[in-house]
This record gives sequence, structure tokens and C-alpha cells, in this order.
Amino acid sequence: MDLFQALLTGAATAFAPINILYCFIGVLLGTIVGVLPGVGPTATVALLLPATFSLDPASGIIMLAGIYYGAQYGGSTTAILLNLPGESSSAVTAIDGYRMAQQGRAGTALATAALGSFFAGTVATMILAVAAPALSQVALQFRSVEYFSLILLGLVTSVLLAHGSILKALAMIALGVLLSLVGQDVATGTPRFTFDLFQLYNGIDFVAVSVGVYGISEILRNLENTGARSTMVHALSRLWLTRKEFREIAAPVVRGTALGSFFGILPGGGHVLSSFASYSLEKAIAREPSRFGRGAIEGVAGPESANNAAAQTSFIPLLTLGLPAHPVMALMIGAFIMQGIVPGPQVISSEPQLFWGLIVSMWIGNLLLVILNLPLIGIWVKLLSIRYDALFPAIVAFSCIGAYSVMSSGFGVLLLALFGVLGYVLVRFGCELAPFILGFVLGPLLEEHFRRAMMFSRGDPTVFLQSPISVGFILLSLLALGAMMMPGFRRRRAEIFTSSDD
Amino acid sequence: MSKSTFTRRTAAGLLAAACGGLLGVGPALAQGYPDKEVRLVVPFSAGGSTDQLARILAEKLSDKLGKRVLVDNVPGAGGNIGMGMVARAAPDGYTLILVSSSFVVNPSLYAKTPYDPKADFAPISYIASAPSFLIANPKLGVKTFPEFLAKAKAEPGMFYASPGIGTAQHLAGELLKKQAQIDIEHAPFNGAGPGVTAVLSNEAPIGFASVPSAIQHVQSGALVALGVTTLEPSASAPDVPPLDKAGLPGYEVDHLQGLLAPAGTPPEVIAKLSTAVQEIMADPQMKERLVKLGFVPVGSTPAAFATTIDTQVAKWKGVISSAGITAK
Amino acid sequence: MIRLRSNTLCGLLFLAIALGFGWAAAGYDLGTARRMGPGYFPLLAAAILGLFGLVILGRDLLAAARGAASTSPDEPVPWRRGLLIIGAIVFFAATAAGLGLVPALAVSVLLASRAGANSWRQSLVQAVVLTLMCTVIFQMGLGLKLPLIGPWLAL
Repeated sequence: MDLFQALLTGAATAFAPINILYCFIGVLLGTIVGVLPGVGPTATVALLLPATFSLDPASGIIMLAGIYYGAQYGGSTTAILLNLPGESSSAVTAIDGYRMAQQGRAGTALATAALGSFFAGTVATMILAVAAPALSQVALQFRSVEYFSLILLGLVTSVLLAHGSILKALAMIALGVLLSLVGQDVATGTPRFTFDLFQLYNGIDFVAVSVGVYGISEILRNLENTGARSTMVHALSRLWLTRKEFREIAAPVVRGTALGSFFGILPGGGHVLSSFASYSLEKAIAREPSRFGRGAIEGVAGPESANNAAAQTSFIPLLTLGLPAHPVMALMIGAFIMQGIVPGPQVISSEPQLFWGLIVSMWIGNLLLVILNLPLIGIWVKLLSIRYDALFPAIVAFSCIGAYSVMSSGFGVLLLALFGVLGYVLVRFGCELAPFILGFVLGPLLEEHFRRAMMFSRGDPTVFLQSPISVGFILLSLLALGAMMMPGFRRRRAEIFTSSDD
Repeated sequence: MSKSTFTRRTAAGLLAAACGGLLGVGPALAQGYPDKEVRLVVPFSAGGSTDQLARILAEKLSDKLGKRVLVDNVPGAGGNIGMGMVARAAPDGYTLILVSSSFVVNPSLYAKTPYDPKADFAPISYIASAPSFLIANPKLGVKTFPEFLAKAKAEPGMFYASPGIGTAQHLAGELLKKQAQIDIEHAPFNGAGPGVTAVLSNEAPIGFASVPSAIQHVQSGALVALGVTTLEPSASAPDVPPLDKAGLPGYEVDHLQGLLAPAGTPPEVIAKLSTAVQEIMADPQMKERLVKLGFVPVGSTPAAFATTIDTQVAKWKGVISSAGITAK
Repeated sequence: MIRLRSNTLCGLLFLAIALGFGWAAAGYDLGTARRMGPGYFPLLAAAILGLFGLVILGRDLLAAARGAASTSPDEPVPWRRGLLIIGAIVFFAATAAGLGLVPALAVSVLLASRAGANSWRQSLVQAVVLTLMCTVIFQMGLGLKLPLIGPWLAL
């Protein structure tokens, strides 16, 4: 059997002791930099890239891939424990993960993230092995028109991420999109909203925005009253899941894996959407949507699985079309090229050892991540037993250094302060941050695809209704909007949120 | 003309060195160069041909200089963002840039560029040139350039994809439009990968793409290569005819890939880098590796590169104004 | 003095941001729907934000006219503590490159720590411990590009 043969080839490469070692080093490094806010996998991979040149191509790439998904996992840890998401995907995990931590269920949340990721990684690895060549064609079905409609759907459904006013959530999306447009216009180079500040030419950095509106504003909020802060520290009984919790996460993990595996194939924004989409789906079909945003375990299980599945399957467009879904992947293309391997449809046939080796090593990497992280959960959770008044200065310190390191300039730290205040003000007004973050991440893609789709249609906006895929997404968006406006839905929301402004 | 700019640049370098000397940093800086990591800016996204070349060069330069040379992708606005950034970077030899044709093209293409190709940079070497293919989606139903010409005349308004405004591929398209007198419209993408993918997915039926970024798809049959932009066929695809011979006599687009430093970089640093680059480019293994990727290795001296920049800036100025190309 | 309602302020904030961005966007080349300039899409986004801002504002004004209670949060704004936190961050932003990591971070942590219920002794301990920890992790472990002691303090 061809596939079996292929996996054997891969296993031979990936199970070589030296490659397991490099995989472990990568995963370990990734976890460390992922846990520290602001450092991030991009900087780490960029720094380590030259060091991999002297390695065998397979070893080097296996290590870099390990850093990538190790960092994704480590980022979730910080998001859950400290509400400091350094990546757009961990911004979703923070919504319910951080609430769980506040309720003394940090261990459960971290274990859920680890198990969900492992399951998703295993399934996505198998999908890659079975269908990588065929799936590379899926990306070619998606053109600017389809991407635009898909992103629109993602933005509309992100209203489900919020549990307050629908209007405010929509306004927050628009605000996120608007702020994401700061910087030089990619098509013409015109600087927009930059106040002639050269530091803004490349746009507002994600770390400053995300750590500011979540981490810093959370500190400001906690300082509002001393009494509320004591809720932060709780007896941390369990580091594992109960049987009931296992049952609760099973279905979300499977659904998250399916969603993530699909979205990862789409290089024009799919990876970013995966965790948001999974969260929206879980909340939409939950029997008690009100639990979401207040420590629902499904809100951690689904998005974490989706994110990890997408991280794996996004190697398909990377390897076969040379299209990176993440800045780290762009750097990995560099690593491939350095090794004399140009990504393309022939990589699978011309470099079977490397291709299948990487796929099998992804699975090993996920296994190593679980082995590495489950014992660490106990240590992480201990962090939370630190008195809050001693903990938040540390959060301030880490956030400052993280924001500084992104551009090696104090400007990023100033932005951090600015977005900390903005986040605090907005939350005080009853606005929620998740739709804002999604708008901020997807804004540039939305503009790019909108402009290009309109160009190819020669200015005809009906082009979005001429492709079946696009029509499907638009119908789903309308359906979602309609459902939110429906009296029944609103009543249900109103019952739960009596303070709502409707 | 080239002589005068070269002297001006040398003067600028000397002036900077003198200023540095007054402050007591210049000579020490050049002597110990490099004593830390060197940043090699690529004004395009990762994976394109300039990026590929930069990564190979960075690896070799790291060995020669004894310090790491790190590639930093600063994409956007046809390279203007990255080139503008390096134009304003400290001229200490720790920020270098590998540019493509957009470097000599953009000043004529954009109303305003954030850099001046002559005054803001000190040339180091014309590393290599990278030819491009005219590619078509098989669904277009053309196998050769003459067939394409007939199709394009019958169906005016066809879109052609390029990796971005002001790229050599964009100009190749505009030159084709003008010389073949066909009505095709430019569709800029954000980098080589997305540009090629657009033709693969038939979002744009045709496109120009560098040989390295398209060769695998041509070999697999997912794309048809109708011609190559250089006067000689590419070593990696000898069957694809030069457009010059396929029905467009005189058609040629040179895709320079050159290494520069900000103007005012100490001359000793430039000399050291230039020697290192020329040694690297003289290595037969390096040449073979570049040819395999679809490049034509060059490795010129700073003076020769300065001359090339002058001639090319003038050439593209002529083409752009006579063809009426704008950045929009 | 009229007590400003939370939703009124929220609507006004969105409206103000939308007007600011929209005004700037209108100054860029708009292009056409077929060939959009740099101003087209931002203007559209600003218009949408402005519209939501207006609706939020309008609904709240209507609610106020009906005499509905405002939904302002009860907790007072922690001005002094908040200023200490923001001050700590701004201090780090302004001085990290000049003073260097160690002094800038130590002062920032001290400032931030004063926002909490910490004794001076606790704050000093936090400043020392965190500065030491961050220096080891970020500077030595991860190669952060910051001098330990900056040029302002060099003799």
C-alpha cells in the first residue's frame, strides 16, 4: 500500500533518535518562548534559523516545526493563567480559560488544552498523510471572492464570542478593522493614519494590542476594588479532568479538530479563523450559551483543538503551494530553501523522506508536548497561588519587555499603555474584546481580498453572489445575523444578561 | 554620468567616515566589522526569488564574515517599505538590503518613493539576475506564445497576475502589452507565491512569475510556460523559448538582484563586503546552486553595479513614461 | 451637572473615532470601486463604525428620554492606581533604551507595585526579584537587544 509505505518512510526519518532529540528541543524551546508574552515563535525561529543550516534538512525542519507548535501550546498557557494572549488564537482560549483559572480550575483548563491539542494533532497528522496531495487542490478553489465572504462570515459570527450587546460587538469588529488598517497601504505604499510616525508604517503590532487590551486592562479592572481581587486566588484542587469533564470536552474536541483541519488548508486567513470559528460553533450549539465567557470548558477544548489541527494542516499549502499561513511558516520556507528544497507540488514526490518525516514528526512532537506539559501544569498552577498584589507587577514587567522586544523600541511599550487604557475604557462601557481582536487580525485580509475581488469583477459587487462557495458563506452570515436579531434569541440573551442595553 | 554619481557617493562615504572619525567611532567600527549580527533586509515576503537568493547569500556571508547575517523580510508597496527603511537605517554596515528590479523601477513608477536609488545607497554587488516566465493556466487553452497572442487579441481585457506593483514581472507585462499591442490588465498580488497561485487557481488566466517560483508547476503540467523574458532560455527549462524569439523581437526584461548598504557606510566596510561577495560568487558550487534555482549568477564590483543602476534607472524611466504606466 | 450615561459615552467614543479615521481616510486617494485607492476601504470601515456609534448613542438617548436607568458600572475608576500602572509602562517605554534594562525595569516594577496593597518593603523586594529574573530570562536566555545599563548612565 502506497500510503503505508509513505508513512513507513516518514517513521524511519522521524523515529531516528537524533530527530526525536531535535523535535524535543524544538518543542521545549517553543513552549518556553510561547509561555513568555511577546517573545513569540516568530522571533525564536528567526534567531534559530541559521543554526539549523548545519543540520540535516529533516532534523532542522523538524526542530523548527517543533518550535512552532510548542509555542502555540505555550501561548495558551499564558493566556489561561494570566490573560496575556500573545497570538490571535490564544486570545480565544483566554476568554474562558482565564475565567476557569479564576475559579480555581486552571489545572483542568491546561489539561484540556493539552489533551485537545494532542487529539487534534493526531487526527490532523493522519489527514495530512491520507489526503495532503488532494487537499492542496482545495486551496485553489478559494479565490479573493471566496476568501472575502469567508472572512466576512468569520467576523459576523464573532459576535457570538461576546455575551453583551450585539450592536457593541459589531462596533468593536469595525473598530478592530479600522485600527488594523494603520500603516502603509500594501497596494500603493501610501501611509495611512500614521501621524508621520515611521514606527507605525508597518502597522500596529499585535502583541502590543492584545497584551494591552487583555492583560493591562485586566489589571486596571482588578484594581477597581480590593475585594474582587481575592477571587483570583482559589484552592487548586485538581490538575486533571473528572469523568464528567472528559465527556464534556469529547464532542467539542472532535468538532474543533474537524473545523481546524479544514480551515488550516486555506492559506488566506483560514488558520486565524479556526479557533474563533470553533468557539462560535460551540457557543451556538450549546444548551446553555450563557456559560460561555464564564469558564465553559468547551470554550477551551474546541478552539485549542481547532488551532492545533489548523497549525498542522496549514503545512499543506505551505509545502505544496509555498503559501505560508503564519509568519513562522514564511520563515520555514526560508529553511526549506536553504536546504535546497523549493516548496511546490513536487516536494512530496521529490523529497518523500523529508515530507513524510515532517508529518510523522508532527505527531511525535504533539506526543512530546503532552508528556512535557502535563507534569508542568502543577508548576504553572502554583504560579496562581502567588498573591495578586505581587503577581501583577510581574505581569506589567513581562508585558513591557514583550512589547519592547517586538520592534526593539520603546514605541511598542507606549502602544501597550495606550491599548491598556483603551481596553479598560471599552470594557467599562460594556464592550467585549474578542470581536475587536478578530477584526484587528482579519482587517488587512478583508481589505486585500475585497479590493482584489472588485478589481477582477471590474467593479461589479454582484461578483460575491456569483460563486457558489461565496454565496454559501454569505447566506450563513445572514442566517447568523438574522438569528441574533430574532426575538427568541434576544429574549434568551436578555434573560441571562439583565443589565443588557436592549 | 555613472562616474559622477560614483564620486558623489564616495564623497558621501568619506564625509560620513570623517564625521565618524570626529566622534571617534568610525574607523574602529570599520576595523572590527562585523562585531555583531548583520541584518539583511529583503523588501519582499519570504519564499520569492529575492528571498531565496538572500537566504543563500546570508548563509555564505555568515561564513565569510564570521558573524551571523540574518534575513529580515520587510514586504509591502512593491518593496518601497523595505527600501525606504534601509535608506534611513544607520550607515554602519549592520543593515544591508538585497533589492530586485523594483529598486530601479519604482522612482519612475511612483509619484513619490521613500528613497533615492543613487543618493541613499552604496552599491555592493549585482549578485545575479532572475528571468521570468510568462505562465498561463492550462484552461486558457494555449500552448505557445503565438496561440496566446491570437487569444489575447480575440479576448481583450485579460488579467495578468504579478507579484506586485513595480516588480520586474509587472514591467514585463506592461512591456508585453505595449510591444505586442494587446489589451491586458495588471492584477498585482502580494508576493511571488500568491501571484503564481492566482494563475494556478485561474483567478488570473495568465501571469508573469520568476522561474524559481513557477518551475515546479510548469514541470508538473499545472501551468503552461509560454516564454521566458531573457534573450537566452533558462538553464532550468531549456524548452521554454525566449519571448524575443517566440514572436516579440527585442523583448527583454532584466531582473537584477543586487546587494546595497545605506549611503555613508564606511568605504572599508563596503570593500570588505564586496570582496566577500565576489569570493562567494566565484565558487563553482555556488554558481551551480543558483543556476539550479533558476538564477543567472553575476557577482559584479561596486563600481560596475553603480553603472548598472544608472543605466537601468534611465531605461525604465523611458519605458514607463512612454508606456504610460502608473502605480495604480 | 448631568450625569453622563455609560452608553452615551460609548456611542460618542465610537462616533469620535469613526469621524477621526473617516476624515483622514477621505484625504487619501479614494480611487474607484474597480481600482480602489488607499482611502476607499478605510472610509467604508469608518462609515460602518460611525453608523454603529450613532445607533448606540441614539438608542441610549431614547432610553434616557423614557427615563430608563443608566447601565453605568458601580465600581469607581481607580485613578491613582491606574495612573501608577500606566505611568510604570510609560516610564519603561521612555527610558528602557536610555537607562538600560536593569534601572528602567526596577523603577517600573516599583511604580506598578505601589498600585497594589504592598508595603514599601514588599515593593522593593518585588523590584529586585523581578528585575533579576527578567534579566536572566530575557537578556541572557533569549538575547533581548537591550543594554543592562544604558548609555545615559555610562560614564
